[in-house]
Amino acid sequence: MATDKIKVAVRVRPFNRRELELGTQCVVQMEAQQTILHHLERKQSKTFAFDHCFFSLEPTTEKFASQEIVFDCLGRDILDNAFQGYNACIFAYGQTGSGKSYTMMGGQDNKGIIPRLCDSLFDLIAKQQSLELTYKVEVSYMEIYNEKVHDLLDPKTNKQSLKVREHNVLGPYVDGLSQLAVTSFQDIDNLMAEGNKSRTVAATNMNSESSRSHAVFSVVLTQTLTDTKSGVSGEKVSRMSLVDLAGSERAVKTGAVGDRLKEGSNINKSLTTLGLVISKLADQSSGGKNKDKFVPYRDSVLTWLLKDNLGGNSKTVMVATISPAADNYEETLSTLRYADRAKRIVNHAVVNEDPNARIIRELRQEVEALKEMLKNA
Amino acid sequence: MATHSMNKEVLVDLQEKYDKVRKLLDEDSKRDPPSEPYKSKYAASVILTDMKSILVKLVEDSDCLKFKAMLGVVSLNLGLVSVDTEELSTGEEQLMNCVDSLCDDALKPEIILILMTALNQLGILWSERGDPQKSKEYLDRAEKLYEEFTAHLSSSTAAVPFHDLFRTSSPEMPQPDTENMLERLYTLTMYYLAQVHGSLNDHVKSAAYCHTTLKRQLESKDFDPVDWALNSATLSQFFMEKNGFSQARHHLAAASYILDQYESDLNLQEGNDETFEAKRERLRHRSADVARCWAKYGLMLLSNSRERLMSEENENEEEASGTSNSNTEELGDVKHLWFTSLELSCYEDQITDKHILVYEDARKVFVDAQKWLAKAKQYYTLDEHASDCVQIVQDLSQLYKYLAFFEEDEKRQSRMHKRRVDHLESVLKELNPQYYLLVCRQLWYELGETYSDILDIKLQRLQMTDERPTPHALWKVNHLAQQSISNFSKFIESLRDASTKKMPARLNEDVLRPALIAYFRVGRLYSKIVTPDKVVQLQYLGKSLDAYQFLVDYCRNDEGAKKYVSVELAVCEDMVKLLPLKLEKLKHEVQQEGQEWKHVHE
Repeated sequence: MATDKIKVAVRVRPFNRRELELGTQCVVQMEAQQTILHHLERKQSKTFAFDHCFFSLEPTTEKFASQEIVFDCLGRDILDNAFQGYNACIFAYGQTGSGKSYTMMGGQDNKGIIPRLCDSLFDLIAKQQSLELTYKVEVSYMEIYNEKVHDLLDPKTNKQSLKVREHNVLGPYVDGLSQLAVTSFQDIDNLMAEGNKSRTVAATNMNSESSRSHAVFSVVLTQTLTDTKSGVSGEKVSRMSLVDLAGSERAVKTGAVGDRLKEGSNINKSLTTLGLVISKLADQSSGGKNKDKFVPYRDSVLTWLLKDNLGGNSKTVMVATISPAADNYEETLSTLRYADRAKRIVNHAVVNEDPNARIIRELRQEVEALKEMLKNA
Repeated sequence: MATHSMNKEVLVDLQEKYDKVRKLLDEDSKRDPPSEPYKSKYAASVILTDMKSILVKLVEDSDCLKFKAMLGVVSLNLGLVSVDTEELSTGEEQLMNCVDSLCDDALKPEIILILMTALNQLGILWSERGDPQKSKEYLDRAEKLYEEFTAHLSSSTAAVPFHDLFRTSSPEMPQPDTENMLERLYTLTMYYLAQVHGSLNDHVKSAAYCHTTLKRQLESKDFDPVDWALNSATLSQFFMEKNGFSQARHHLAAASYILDQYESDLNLQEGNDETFEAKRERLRHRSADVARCWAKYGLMLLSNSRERLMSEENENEEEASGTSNSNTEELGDVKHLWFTSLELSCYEDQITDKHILVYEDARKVFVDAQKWLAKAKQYYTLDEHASDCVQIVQDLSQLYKYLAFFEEDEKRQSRMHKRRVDHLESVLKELNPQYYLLVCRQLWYELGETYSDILDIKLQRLQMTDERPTPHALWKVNHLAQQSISNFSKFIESLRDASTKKMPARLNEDVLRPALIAYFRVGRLYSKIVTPDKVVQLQYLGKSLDAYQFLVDYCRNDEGAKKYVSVELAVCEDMVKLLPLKLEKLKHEVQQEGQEWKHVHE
């Protein structure tokens, strides 16, 4: 099913040992498709609605969302889409310790989305391949940092910044990004580990002003169907992208936000954000006539990535992970707000039609004429 | 005084402590480990608390302004550190202390910087607490303070920077430029007010403060030219939506001026390295963006002008209000938003800021906007920036559409719409629908509408003349109808489910109305096709009925859809009742003719 919106899921992790020892309170509640965040002292709660709320707090409860459940809800569609030749994108967002890595990667006995996706992928390939139908799986791994794209799998060039392009026939691609063939999840895991070593070090220093590094891991599936009689073959290429979004981390609270606009009515201290403030001002429309003005993109690379994965037959999913603990309230609230905003990102390529008042008038006249004609028939 | 020499020691001690605090806050804190992020700040806090007790005593003993100021700086910094280390209540208390203790001496040069910083910070603090109204109070205070201070300014009353208060001897090295500290603080006040007004949903005031911030950046010569130009051009988009075309044009002109200046500067520099190339690339990119903003200005001017004329027609207004913009401008009393330091007439003279009334003026705007789109397209090429390139072509199509509105000669109107078709078709055939499905849909739809517009012009002309239409004219009419139908159909076909090949039982909200309208239009278009062959007529009539029927059936199955197409639905419901009778009549005629033919040939 085609959709122009992002599917947003939120997952709350269990308490960790330290939290259990301290007897920390749980401030997150989930009911069906709502996540409710309680503030212990202020006694007000904030409610958010999402496409999926994964309650992974307590393994023994009925509504516990296991790794398998999460994969079934989010991962299967993505895989199906890929085999049909369409693209998909999963964004993972969450602060350190919120369970993002667990959800995306997991461990040996409790695999996360990515290993399950890859395992299923290779399984299906093994089942479906034949003389006529062959598959090729390749991966690429890049980092977006300060609007620059770096290839994490090519040690020689990963200092160079690559250009992102939207080709009219080939679609969106990164010029010069290396794509390596893989035959199992193990291959993929090894490559990801290697790639992680090359990630920009400064990005992980949370006191740094611009600690915004996003990592994008892509799996490209090429299906070749050959007609054995004629030797003619057709190809279907699809891409699954897994984007690890830089979280706001505690840097937000120390004031070193860099180029992100703060949530709600918070003031951004540095004049470097003036552009974002003006963009937001120009964007808020008086009358919903989106096409009548042009607001230049500020966050070009990430927006490009998002834009091209929205709409048509692409699927885009965001998974935001949160902590249940009371003392992570601010971070949790910030994450929920971010996820909430993501819901509203729509590919603005909607169809605008001209007013058709004249046509309606004309047709009404025709209706009258028809009635007359039939009266006299 | 006997205390003089002791004071000197105390002062030197205070200066050393202050220097230490500055080092901790400005340098060391950046290197604090993630496990102890506030280590340096806490250390600074300890020293500041110590300094505070010393200064409190000094102030008690000798009510001297300088000591009051120094105490103010200490309280201010304690407040700042508290806020940074997430102790908002303590921070607020310390900042309020600072403000209250100094407000009697607010306009003194030793005090002003401290007070402005504290007020700005309180503004930030209250906005962080989610109270923009309270935040605005402090920022307004800072604004007034600056205005009063600078009103009475004379060369001897330069604001005293903090470290000067603590200095006990002449500086060995030339001090960093602290002269503009006051100006910088005021610029921040302006910027914070812009944001707070945004939070309070007073967007016009917010825009005015954004303008002031930009203006001050210009004056202080402290800005990145590409960023500045982009910001000014973006702000113009806000103004033009509020009918502030003069202001919009002015901001666009300023953007172009700054970019041109920057380009000249870059050309003087030599270099082929990566950084230089990156600068050039950035300039090219953002120049293309500014060009697009200019084009949108032209488009909006034309579209607004058209709306005005159309609503005037409906209201039968007699007044020709071509020269004034003020009756539709929504900027209220914040109209005077000019960059007085820039000479922009050569940019502003290239295009009008007044509403358009006649074709000649529309054409001038058209030509200007078209030139900007051509410039933008040089950067946003089809093979590197496909989506943007298509948007530019769509803008070009809109330009022709608006131009056609002002053109009175129908033949020329047709030609303008034909230009639209040419541009849209030429870009459509280059796009891979797998990646650009949504864009292709927009193009099919617009082509459907455009062919239909040309068709309507032709039909009108035929109706006006009494002569029989020529075969060529009829062929043209049919061709246009078929093309229109073909494009609307491609749009509709693209909505089918990829695997089942069927139209979805429930259409997505975003495409619901366009899809149903597409059926509606197709229904009407089939009835426009002219043919002497009654059998063929029957076929087309059948297709017309099918299209109307789809709309009716869909709304029957999806109650929620009715509100999107209520007017069209009413017409379709009539059509599906009446058309079958017309079809019957036609079928009957066809059979009769067939029998007559048989009789003749038996």
